[in-house]
Amino acid sequence: MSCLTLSQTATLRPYLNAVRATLQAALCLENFSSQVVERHNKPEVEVRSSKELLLQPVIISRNEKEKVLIEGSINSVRVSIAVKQADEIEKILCHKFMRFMMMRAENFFILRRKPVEGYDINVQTQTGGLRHSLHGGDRQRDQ
Amino acid sequence: MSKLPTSARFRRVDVDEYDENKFVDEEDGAENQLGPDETEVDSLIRQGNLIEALHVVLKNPPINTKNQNVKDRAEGLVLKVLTAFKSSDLEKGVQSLDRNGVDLLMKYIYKGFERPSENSSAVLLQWHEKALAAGGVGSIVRVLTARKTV
Repeated sequence: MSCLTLSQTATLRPYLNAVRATLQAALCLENFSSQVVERHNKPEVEVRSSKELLLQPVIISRNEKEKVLIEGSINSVRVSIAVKQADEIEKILCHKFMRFMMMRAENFFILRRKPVEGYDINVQTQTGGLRHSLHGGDRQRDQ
Repeated sequence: MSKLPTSARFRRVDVDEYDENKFVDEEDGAENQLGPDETEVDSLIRQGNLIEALHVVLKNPPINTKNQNVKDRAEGLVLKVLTAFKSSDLEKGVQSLDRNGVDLLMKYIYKGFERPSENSSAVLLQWHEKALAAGGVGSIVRVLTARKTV
C-alpha cells in the first residue's frame, strides 16, 4: 500500500480512540416502538420520523479523506465510514470489496445495503441486535 | 359521480401539524450572541497567553443564533487558538476549564472535525484525547444530545 509518513501513523491511535469513545457514547440504546405506526419497531435513524428521537450527527475525521460519521437515535445507530483511497486502483478495489460485502448484508446483520452519500460503507445496528452480540444472546425474538 | 355540495378541503389538512404532543424545538431568540471577540483573542495569541485566549474564545458561544456566519467565525477563531497551543500545554489548557468549558470545547472539537483542513484533524484529535480525559464519555454524550449546537 502507500507508505505512511510519520505524522500519518501518529494520528491513527488518537483517531481510533476518538471513534471508540464516541461510539461508546452513541451506543446507549433502548427499545422504542414506532410512534407513528402501532406495533411496529423501526430503526429511528433510518426512518427519521420524529426530531426528538434523533441525536446530533458527529463526524470524526483523521484527514480530508478519512472520516467516520456517527448518527445516533434512541434505538439505533448508523456509522458511516469513509475509507482512504489514495489512487484509482485503490478506489476500484475499495468499491468492489464494499459492494461484495454489502450485497451479502443480510448475512452480516449490521451492514447496510447502500452507503450514505459521501461514504463507503455503513454499519447500522438496533437495540435487539446489540443484545444478541454484546450479552451473548437473549433467546427471545425481539427486534 | 356528482360533485358533493360540501367542500372536501378538510382532506388536505395536515393533521400531524395540530397534534398537541408534537415536539417543537424551543426557539430562544438570537439574544445578541455575537461569538467570541476576535481582536481580543488575536492579541492574546500574539502575547502568547494561550490559556487566557482559550477562556476568552469559549465565552459567548453562538449557540442560539441562526446566523451561520457568526458560527463559522467563532469556529475559525477557536480552531486558531487550539492550533496555537503547544502539545505539552494541551493538558494544562484543558485542566483550566470548568465542566461547562470542557463540554463547549468538545462541541467545538466535533464542529472542527466536520471541515478538515491541512493539519486541523491531527490537532483536534490531540485535543479530543485530553478533553475526553477531563470530561469523560459524559461530555461526548452531552454533545450528542444537545438540541442547539455551536
